[in-house]
Amino acid sequence: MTETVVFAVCAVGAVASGAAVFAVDSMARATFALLASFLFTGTAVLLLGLSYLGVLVVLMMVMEMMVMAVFMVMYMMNPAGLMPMSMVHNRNGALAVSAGVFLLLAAGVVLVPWPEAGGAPPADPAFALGEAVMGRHMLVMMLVGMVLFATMVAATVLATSRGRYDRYGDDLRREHPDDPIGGGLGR
Amino acid sequence: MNGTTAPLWAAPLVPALLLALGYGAAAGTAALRARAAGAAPSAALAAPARESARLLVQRRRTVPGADVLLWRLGGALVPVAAVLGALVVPLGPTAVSDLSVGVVWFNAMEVLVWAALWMLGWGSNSVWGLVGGYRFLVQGLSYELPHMFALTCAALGAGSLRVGDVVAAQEQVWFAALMPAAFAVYLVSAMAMAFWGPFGAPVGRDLAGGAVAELSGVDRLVLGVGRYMFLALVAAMAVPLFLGGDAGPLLPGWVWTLAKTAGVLGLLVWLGHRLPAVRMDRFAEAAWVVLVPVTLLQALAVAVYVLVR
Amino acid sequence: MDVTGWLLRRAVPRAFVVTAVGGTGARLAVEAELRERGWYEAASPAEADMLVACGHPCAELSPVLDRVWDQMPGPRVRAAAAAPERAAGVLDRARAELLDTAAQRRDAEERDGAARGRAREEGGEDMPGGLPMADRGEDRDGLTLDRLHVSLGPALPAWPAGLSLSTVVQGDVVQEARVRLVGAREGGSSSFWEGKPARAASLDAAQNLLAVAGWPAAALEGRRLRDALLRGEDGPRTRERLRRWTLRVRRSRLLRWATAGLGEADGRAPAGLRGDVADRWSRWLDPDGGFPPYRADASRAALDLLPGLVIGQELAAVRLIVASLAPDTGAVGAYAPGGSA
Repeated sequence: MTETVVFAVCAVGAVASGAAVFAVDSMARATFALLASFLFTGTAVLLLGLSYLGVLVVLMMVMEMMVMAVFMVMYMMNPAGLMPMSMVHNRNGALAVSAGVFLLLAAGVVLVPWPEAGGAPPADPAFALGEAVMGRHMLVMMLVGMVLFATMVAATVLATSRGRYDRYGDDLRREHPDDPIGGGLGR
Repeated sequence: MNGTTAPLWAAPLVPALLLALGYGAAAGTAALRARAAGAAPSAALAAPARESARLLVQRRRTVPGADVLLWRLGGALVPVAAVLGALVVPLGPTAVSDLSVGVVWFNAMEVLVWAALWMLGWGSNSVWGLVGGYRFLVQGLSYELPHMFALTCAALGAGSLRVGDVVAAQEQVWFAALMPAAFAVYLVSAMAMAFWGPFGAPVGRDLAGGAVAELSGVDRLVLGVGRYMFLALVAAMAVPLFLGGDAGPLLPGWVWTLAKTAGVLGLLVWLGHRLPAVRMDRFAEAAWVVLVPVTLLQALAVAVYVLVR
Repeated sequence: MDVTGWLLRRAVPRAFVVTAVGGTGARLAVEAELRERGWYEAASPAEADMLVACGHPCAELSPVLDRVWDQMPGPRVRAAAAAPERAAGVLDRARAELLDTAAQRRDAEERDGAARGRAREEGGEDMPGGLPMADRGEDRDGLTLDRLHVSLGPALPAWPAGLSLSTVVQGDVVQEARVRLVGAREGGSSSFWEGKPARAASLDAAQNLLAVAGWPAAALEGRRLRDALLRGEDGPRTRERLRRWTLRVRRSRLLRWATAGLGEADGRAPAGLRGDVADRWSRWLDPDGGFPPYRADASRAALDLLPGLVIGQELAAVRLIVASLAPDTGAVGAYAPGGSA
């Protein structure tokens, strides 16, 4: 009974705060509405017994949203959120697409023949889920993770306008780098 | 005996204990300050209560163009995060909730302070506040990875994310002795996440109070209380993670937990008194270039130790 | 039962101290009084309940004080310590006024009424709060970001009296800076520190820098030693305390790390200003008696150097650089920095 109530609150809360992202008129509030939506989703994941994943959703989403807030506020028009603003572009098209996707997914919930639950839940559901999703491809998945990470680092390195020749001079002989604001280690 | 869950009536005990410890930290800070000023340190015992009285009478401030919702929410979030985080910290052998992922839960609640301080700084519509909020984000991005790896070391040593298991794994040797680098990094990041002492730049005097520059009255009181509760929480969490939890001779376990917590808290208060602020543009590089590799090597050492043990 | 009065009587006051040019003596007296009574100094008007103006505010500083006064939440009291010897009496009276609950209630009601009146008048404005939007410009990485016009000082804690640094900031990085003196005195340009122990002058500059550097305990002890020297206490106990304090500050690796490499002034600057922030504060603490530029020429040079040194720095560095230049605004007379007198 309690679980049903918590689930209902989280489900409605997640959808409502997700909708609020497009209703509030400030970038900061939109960010935190999105964060609230993720937190509700995280609680729903907790209900499934996937405590590790649920808490991880909370942890990662708070950090991610804070970093996102910085970039959104930095790059968007009207950053201070003082003037009313809108997150919506192409209102009719967007509404049609999102309603269609929602109906499709909702239909899936009703129409797919879900298997009956059999046996007891495993001792460590997060572990079991990982096995079920990745199975024998665990090594490949871990390597892919490393490659993704290396790609992000490489992309950042390529994107920065200042390279080592700017910092250490054309023959790389400068002892201390020439940075607009120096770091803490003098290298 | 470790890892039992307390009855429900014990839940209100958590904020009460955090408040008491936080009050002690505030009084200790006031005493050290009084000594530096050449005044009698005895008056310091009542100093936090007197300041609370002042803030209770002070009126709340309204700022033109402020995002009042986020502003108030930010201040209230800090004590809430402290109490939620403390749910997994055992007193003696008993925690309110010994979650199977207690260490990650603590980490998640601690990260809520990022959101709280940013909201505080943003909501007040002031340059000081905004810069203070951003400073805390830089601080967070600097301390968070070393902090996570320090937590990982403790969890790795126990082979479990359950706080009770981490305590049980320290029966022979405390993790503070087994993984000193992780413990040191934990203490540094503990001060950073409570924006305390050398990591107080987000609320620094050079920014006229930074993220809290525009707070007054009860709003400032809630944040101040929350900050000391948070400091108490990070000190209390060091005990099960690195200092053997409730282990100790003669006295009952809960006395040992409290004594060790008070010790760590006293150390943090003293460090806050003795150290100047760390500038974030400098600490960011030091954290990523020094602390992250140090904690990674520490994790490697712990992993090897666990395998050959 | 009057709970408000009961709580107020238990509260320890928190004063926001603003110093006018030439008010150094009054500031030192107020600071010493606050320290001895165990009262606090506020970092911003929002947390203060007492506004203390030190020295004689000029026509230009008075509106600044009025704005600070408007930002104080209340209960609040305004005090003026024109001369050093009046500091104790002024603070006593201010405290008594603060405890007058009836008067404080009247003040609060008047303000609420005035605020309601203003809200009615300004109804239907376009900008929320009547605030203009920030304009935008390129930052050092070529991104178009907000530019805010922020004025640092003259009402800022741990800041040279009367100094106003008008800046354009993007994020917390200063892009443009202009120095102005609020209330520079015509003719009369005698520094408070003339005839005082040079060591006390360096201690005053050092405690100011320590406060900005986020080391309140060391700053407080520095003040205590400064006051002792100014009172003429030079016994073995004071000297021993001074030696230990100096040693602790000089040995602080963290402080050196935070201040090294900032605000580098080259060889054309006066000898007392050369080097980076760490060099400057080290000279003050030199036992062989280096002292800060409490002289007219060095202070003028410091004010001229200031804008060039702070551009491109973030606010924490700007505060440290200003504190390390420590211009004695009382000594420069009617000086308009930048040569446009």
